[in-house]
Amino acid sequence: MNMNGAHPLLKVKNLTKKFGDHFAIKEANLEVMRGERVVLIGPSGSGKSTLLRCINYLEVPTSGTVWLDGEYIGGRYNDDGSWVKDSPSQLTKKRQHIGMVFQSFNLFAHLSALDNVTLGPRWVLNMPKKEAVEIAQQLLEKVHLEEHSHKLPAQLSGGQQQRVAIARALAMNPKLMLFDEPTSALDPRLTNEVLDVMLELAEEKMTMIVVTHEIGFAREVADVVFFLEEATIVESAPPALLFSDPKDERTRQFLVDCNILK
Amino acid sequence: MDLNFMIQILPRLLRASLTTIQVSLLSLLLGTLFGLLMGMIRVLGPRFLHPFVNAYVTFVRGTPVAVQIYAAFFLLPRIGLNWSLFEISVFALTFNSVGYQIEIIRAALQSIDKGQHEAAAAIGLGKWKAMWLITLPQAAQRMIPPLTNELANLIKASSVLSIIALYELTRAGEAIIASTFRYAEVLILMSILYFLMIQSLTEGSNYLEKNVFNFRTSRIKTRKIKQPAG
Amino acid sequence: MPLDLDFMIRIFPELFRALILTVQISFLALLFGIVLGILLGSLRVIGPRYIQIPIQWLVNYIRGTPQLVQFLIVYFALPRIGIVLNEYWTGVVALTVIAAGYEVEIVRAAIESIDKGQKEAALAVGMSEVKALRLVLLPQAMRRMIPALTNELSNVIKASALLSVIAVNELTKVGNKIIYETFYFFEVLIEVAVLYLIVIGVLGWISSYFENKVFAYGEAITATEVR
Repeated sequence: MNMNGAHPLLKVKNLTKKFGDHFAIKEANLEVMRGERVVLIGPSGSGKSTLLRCINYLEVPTSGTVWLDGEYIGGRYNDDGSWVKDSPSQLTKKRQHIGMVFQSFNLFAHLSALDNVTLGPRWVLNMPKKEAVEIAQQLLEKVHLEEHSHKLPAQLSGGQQQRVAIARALAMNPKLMLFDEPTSALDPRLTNEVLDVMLELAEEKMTMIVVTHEIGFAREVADVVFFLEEATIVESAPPALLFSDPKDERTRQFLVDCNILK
Repeated sequence: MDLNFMIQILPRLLRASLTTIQVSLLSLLLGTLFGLLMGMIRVLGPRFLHPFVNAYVTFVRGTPVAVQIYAAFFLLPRIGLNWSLFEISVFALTFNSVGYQIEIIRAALQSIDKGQHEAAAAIGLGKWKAMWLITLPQAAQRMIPPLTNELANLIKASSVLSIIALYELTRAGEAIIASTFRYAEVLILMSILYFLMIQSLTEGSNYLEKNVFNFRTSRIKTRKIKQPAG
Repeated sequence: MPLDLDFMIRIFPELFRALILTVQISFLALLFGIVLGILLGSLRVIGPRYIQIPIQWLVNYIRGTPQLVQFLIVYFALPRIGIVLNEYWTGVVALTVIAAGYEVEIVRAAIESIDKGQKEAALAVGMSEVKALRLVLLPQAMRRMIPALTNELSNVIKASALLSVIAVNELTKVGNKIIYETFYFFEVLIEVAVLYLIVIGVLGWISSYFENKVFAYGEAITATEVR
């Protein structure tokens, strides 16, 4: 398939999420091609995280559809307009293809780093233990934690925990990786060790969507940057363009507030 | 299920429920009185008294209420107190309840912000006065939910009084079962009555907590406190 | 009132046997209660609503009515539905009902005390709810339950005193029997109380040891106390 006719890996259509009367995200549309690296930026409360969490249905959208590699996630509209819902087990299956990294790491507190990584392959993919351990060790090596594999999460620094979390997500061999403010809970030094790992992933052409406040990372890595404000996607453009010459006044204002534009 | 039979025995069970409520409420009130006293001793009193309070609490919590009831039943007459079954029952449950209330009261007293003590000390109140005027009124509201819980526990514990033949709800139910063998009807009615008693008391105390003892919305006028001299 | 120490020593073997029985029955009830508690507690958390609600009713009923009434129900109802057990097993069943009622709440509280992110992460790795519960939530919840469960054992032991009314030869019943035979009630009551105090004291000590011990992660859930 050539680039022009290619169908996107991820397609989000008219996605809306309401909490009570409050819109967390409103009519969001998003397409991500295979190997594309997308960064979502915007002020706190603009709906970036909600959008991300709706993509793998940790948050159930109020309306709208999500398609991954031609398959809908969670539910879709039939031709007659009725809503077809995934059964829990169908949803569980589809989620395996989407890796997620959380702001608060969420490592399984009772398991060592290695067991955190092997848990998915062993119990979801039913992989033999030996094979799962092998893969996990490779991944821990990739995130530079091979010597820490036996430690419990509480014995690791925040940066180390987040890198284990990345390895855990990668162990399922996902088609798409979601990063929900992966460095917000970390100090600058630890932030850098996590960003380095994400950078390496990006270089390997992993398809990823990153919610972050790290403009530097966005500038260096992203193919497309989306700017969100007040629950809507305001605009999207390659970082070079968006950060130097935003079309929308709101984006410009945000960048000025962040000292990126004068 | 014989509805007629249930209606027929209802008055007897209701009368017995009244005894259940009387014993439980009296024990709660007396228990709060002694609990307050011992709880304050535990918080403010001289250190040499603490082990006695602690030993009491340990004894009450470490033995079944049935044993405590038997003990009251056998020992009170022996030391010359010719009490009725009802009085023995109230004594036994109060004795039991104090052991649990001390902890409730101690926790509530100690939960009051230290700044309150400091402010009281700063205006020259002694520690017992500060306790009476400042800490206790504020702690009172926090005691209501656990004391409600305590009342529910007392109602449940009062059923054990049937072992010394106090004619409360459980005893009445057992007596009817023994004479008619219709245990299903009786046990269902007993369950419902206990449930209703506990629920209505819980609701009532929730109301008290929200409407009477709430310092923000209370319509009760706050008492004027005399300015300390000097 | 001088105590007849010789008498107290003479009745010790009989009371001690009764104590063993008390602890045995209580321990069995606790174990069965744990199994039921984990099963029902898990369903209470992740089951469909039409299962959650009846479970909560049952729990409210068990916690909201006197234990004695529940003992009577078990005592009368079991033979009626064709289950004829001796006193010992009737006692175990009756105590299990009570233990389970409280343990469902312990299990539920422990599962719900676990950070929401743990479940989200499990779902994000592609686990089903059941797998997330079994592999991620329950293993963490178990450790938090230990102090509350130890405490629950002392609750069950205290409740077992009421089995005397359904003719189980546990400590209270045997003590009572000796009193009516000999009228040495002071000696008997003291000895019975001390035996309970020792067992429950040891359990309380174990429970607070667990509670105070800093777990590698998370806090222990607190125990509720029952008469």
